[in-house]
Formats: sequence, C-alpha cells, structure tokens
Amino acid sequence: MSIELTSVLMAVSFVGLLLIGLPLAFAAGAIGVVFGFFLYGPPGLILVVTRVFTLLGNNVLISVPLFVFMACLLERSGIAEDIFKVVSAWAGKVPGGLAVAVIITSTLMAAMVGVLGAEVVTIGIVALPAMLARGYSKQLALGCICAGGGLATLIPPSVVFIMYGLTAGVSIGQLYMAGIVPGLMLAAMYITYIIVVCKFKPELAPASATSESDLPLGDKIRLLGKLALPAFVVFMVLGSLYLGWATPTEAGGVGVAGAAIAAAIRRRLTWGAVRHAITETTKTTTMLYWLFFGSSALIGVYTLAGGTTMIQDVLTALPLGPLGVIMLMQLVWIVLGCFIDWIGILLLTAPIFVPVAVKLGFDPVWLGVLFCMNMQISYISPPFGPAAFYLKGVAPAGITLSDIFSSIWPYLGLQIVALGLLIAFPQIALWLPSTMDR
Amino acid sequence: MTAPGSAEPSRSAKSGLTALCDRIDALNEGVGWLLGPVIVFVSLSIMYEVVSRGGFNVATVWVNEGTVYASAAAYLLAGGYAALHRRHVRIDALFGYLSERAKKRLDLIALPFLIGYALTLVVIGGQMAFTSFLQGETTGTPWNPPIWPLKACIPLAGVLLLLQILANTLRDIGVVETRRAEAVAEQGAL
Repeated sequence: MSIELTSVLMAVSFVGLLLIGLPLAFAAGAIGVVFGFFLYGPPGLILVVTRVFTLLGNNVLISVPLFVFMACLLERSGIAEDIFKVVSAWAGKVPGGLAVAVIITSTLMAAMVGVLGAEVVTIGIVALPAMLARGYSKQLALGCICAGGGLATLIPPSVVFIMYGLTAGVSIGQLYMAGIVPGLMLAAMYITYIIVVCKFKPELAPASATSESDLPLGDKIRLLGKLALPAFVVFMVLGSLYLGWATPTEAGGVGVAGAAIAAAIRRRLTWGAVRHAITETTKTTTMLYWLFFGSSALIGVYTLAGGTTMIQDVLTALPLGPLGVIMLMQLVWIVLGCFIDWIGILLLTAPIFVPVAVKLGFDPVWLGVLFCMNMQISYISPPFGPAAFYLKGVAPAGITLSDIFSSIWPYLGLQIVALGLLIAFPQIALWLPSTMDR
Repeated sequence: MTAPGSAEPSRSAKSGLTALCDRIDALNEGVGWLLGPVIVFVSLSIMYEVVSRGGFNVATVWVNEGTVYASAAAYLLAGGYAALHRRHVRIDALFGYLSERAKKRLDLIALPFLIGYALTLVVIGGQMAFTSFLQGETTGTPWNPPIWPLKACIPLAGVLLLLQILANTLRDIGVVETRRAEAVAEQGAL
C-alpha cells in the first residue's frame, strides 16, 4: 500500500475515533495498534509497546508531575490574593488600575504556575468581584483575566514548554529562557492597551472613591513585604535554573519545595490541601503520560511506514519559501487550536513540523515560542477557548459565556501582533537563552 | 447487608454486574490513592540530590534513575484511575451534542478499539516483561537495578485500564445504573 493511501486512511480513522468520543490518548494508541498490526503483523505491536517503554525511561518526563504538583500546592496558598492586594494598592491611581493589577498579578503567578487552568480560576476568584464591585465594565474585567491567564503558557515554568521540549528534543532550560522576554512583552502590551483605553473611556473603569490607593506611602511600602514570598518561589525555580544549580527537571523539585514552604508560611499547608494537591497531580499527570504513550505509538508506526518523511518532503518542497512554510504552520496551529487542546496539537504536529523547520534553517527553540504564542490564542478564542469555561465556572451569576468571549477580541488582536513581531524579530525570544551558561 | 462477594441466588444478573463495576471502581480508586504519594517521594529525593550535590559536592547514584523509575511506574499504573475519573481528554466537538441513544451506540463502536489497545499492552507487554525477567536484564548504569519490574507494570497497567474501560462502558450504556454525578467528566486543571 502506498504511503499516501496509508496516510489518508490513518488520518481518517484517527479523526473518526476522536469524533465518536474516544479519548485522544486511547484513539492514538488504538490507531497505532491497528495500523501497526495491519502493516507489519505482530512486530508492529511490539513496536507500539516498545515506544511506550522507551518513554518511561525519559528523565525530562518527571518534570511534568513536579510542576503540576507545584501549581496545585500554590493554587490554594493564597499567594495570588497577596500579590493582587499589593499591586492594586500601587496601581490604584493608574487608569484601569485594577485591570492593570490583574495583568501584573497574572504575570507573577505565571512565573510560579505552569498549568493553564489554575491561573484563570485563582485570579477570577480574587479579582473579578473586586472589579465588578468597583463598577468596571464587564468587557474590561473579563477580558483581562482571560488574557492574563494565558501568560502561564509562555512564562516559565510552563508545562507546554516541557511537553514541546520532550516531543521536539529541545533543551527545556533554553525554552524557558526563550519564553521570558516574549511573555513580558505581551504583558506590557496588555497593560498599555488597558491604560490607553481607560484614559479615553474613563467610564469603563471608575476610579476608586476611597479604598486602597489612598493608603499613606509608608503603608504602601510595608505592603511590598508581601511580595517577598512570591519572589522567593520564582527565584527557587528560575534562579536555580539560570544559575545552573539545578537541571530543568530538578528545578521542578526545587519549585515544589519552594511552593510548600510558601504555603506553610501562609498557614495553608493543611493536610486536606496536600491531599487535594496529590490527587490532582496524579490525575493530571497520568492523563499527560498516557497521551504521550498513545501519540508516541501512533507517530512511531507512522514514521516506520515512511509517513513523517513524506510529509516533511512535501512541506519543504512547497513553493512558499522558508518563511512561507513557517506561516503555513502558524495557520495550521491557529485553525487546529479552535478545535483541539494544545496537547493534542503539540503531540501530533511537533514531530513533523520541528524537523522541517530545522531543515529550513530555523531554530527549534524559536518555533517552540511561536507554538506557545499560538496556544495562547487558542486558549482564549471561541468557540472552545478553555479560559472562558474556567472563568465561567467561578464568575458570579449573570455573566454568560458570550459575555466572556466578546471581551477577548482586543487581547486576541494583541496576541496576533505579538506573534507577528516574534516571527519578524526572532531575537526577542532567542536573546536571553543566548546569554545563559551552557 | 450481605458480606461483600457472597452472591445471593435471588440477585439478578444486573445487580451482580453492578457489584462487579463497583469493585473495579474501588480497585482503581485504591490504586490511585496508593500511588499518589509517589510525587512526594520524588520531590524530596530531588531536593536531597540538589542539596547534597550543591552543598556537599556529593552526587547520588540512585536519585535520577530512582525518581524516573518510580514516577514512570506510578503514572503508568494510574491509567485506570484517570479513566475512572474521566480525566483522559476527549474532543467534544461532535460527541458532546449527540442524543443519549446515539452516544450509547458510539460507546459500543469505540469499545473494541479501547480493548485492542489495552490488550496489546497486556499481552505484548507481558511477553516483554517475562523475557526481561528470564534474562535478568538490568539497566546497565552505576546503580543497575533490574528492569523487569518496570516492564511488568505495562501489562499490569493494561489490566487495570481494561477493567475500568469495561466498567465505564457498562455504566455509560446503561446496563449498570450510574450511581453518581461523577460520571460527568471532571474539569481538569489543564
């Protein structure tokens, strides 16, 4: 059977299994099994199981549960409340002060939490009631929380980078450093937008009558002490990594310790909270591990059949020029992003896209940052953008999904601008890792 | 009121199946409960390694391999546990909008594929683990632990997953009544 026909059959049956409701992990595994057996007989099945076993020995894979565990411990530590309180006291006089505070809080939280859902939920609980009580427009209040939550994708320690690094065979440390500047750039763009819009339409964000921003300067400075704990946690992870004390995997372990210490100091490290963090970690990590098993089996069989090479040849032969191929990849990611989770897109496209990009002379670290930018877009964009669903879960009654989706458009625009900037100026991402000790 | 396992003759086949599904749920719940603390062990071991290497310049031989080994086994074996809690992500683009009857039919079409994957892990994984055991295969690193226990986790995980798939499907198609709201997928953190 020709590889073209095999490709079509595999793709159609895989999509078919997904549509009839099989979980992604098992659909991929089952297609690996069926086509492995069909094309190669029993050795095809051995290939499937060998791919699973090979993954089990991968040292980088453990950073997944470590960073998930860290996020779960921080989720209930109350650190987000602290940061929001301090920042909103300082940003109170700025137009749209609370929305600006949301973005800054999200950025700081993103430097501790690598899991997407956790951030929108935590900040939604803390900041949404405060903004609505102050009379902020729904548009402004909802949009900044969704957009801010997505920053966890781009700012290390992001689980998306770990999964990309594993799939693409790229250093996690390099990816982490490459995500910092683009992440901060995007946050700065959000803040600028909020300030400008609120300057011209003050009715969107009524200034506070009394409250936090009128604190005497001494109190404000004293409040800054509350930032010591988050700064400590951020340093534990990024500092130990940048200074070369810990490998990216070990940085996860150090981060768990930092998160546990921070939660203990805030007296939130209760037995119940730890128990909850442990079960959440087991469930989330198991889901991710099995996705890896399934997609690795699928890609293994497809590569053996010559499919990966075939697609790579087709992509490199396209009359688009190197940059055109990269643009095509962005388009594929944006479209897929409307329908599938980031993890599925990553596991299915990265094994094909990364070698092509490398062959065309692009840096795979840069492509990883582009991928994360795209996943921010898919994270907030309708009709399935997960951020909206997380936020809906914690929003007060009277806020609908369409309220949330209609609030994200300006931020979506900014994300696309940022993506364009990154494509035009790869140095935005690649400068910081180039200063790192290798 | 009866002791678990003592099947009363008067019970219908349906309630026997219910008992079986409940047992499978309890088994995987127990497995997940037992495996959870592995993450605590892994975190502590890594802290120990970082401190002993950074502070005292002594690297261990076992932390790197031991933590990989332990977490691999744990999250492999928890496959059934995650299935019990419906945490394996699926795409709801079509499935979510179907009628209950159509969903049940599709569940039955999906079943052979799920079983095929799980059985491959059980049978082929079992053979590989057995061969490894007979050969006394080790990792060939300074610590050099035997490999077969990890390989044996693959068929074991396959069995746990297979059981949970059967229990979930029996509940989904309504052969066994669903006793809980949990059958609705939990909202994950990703």
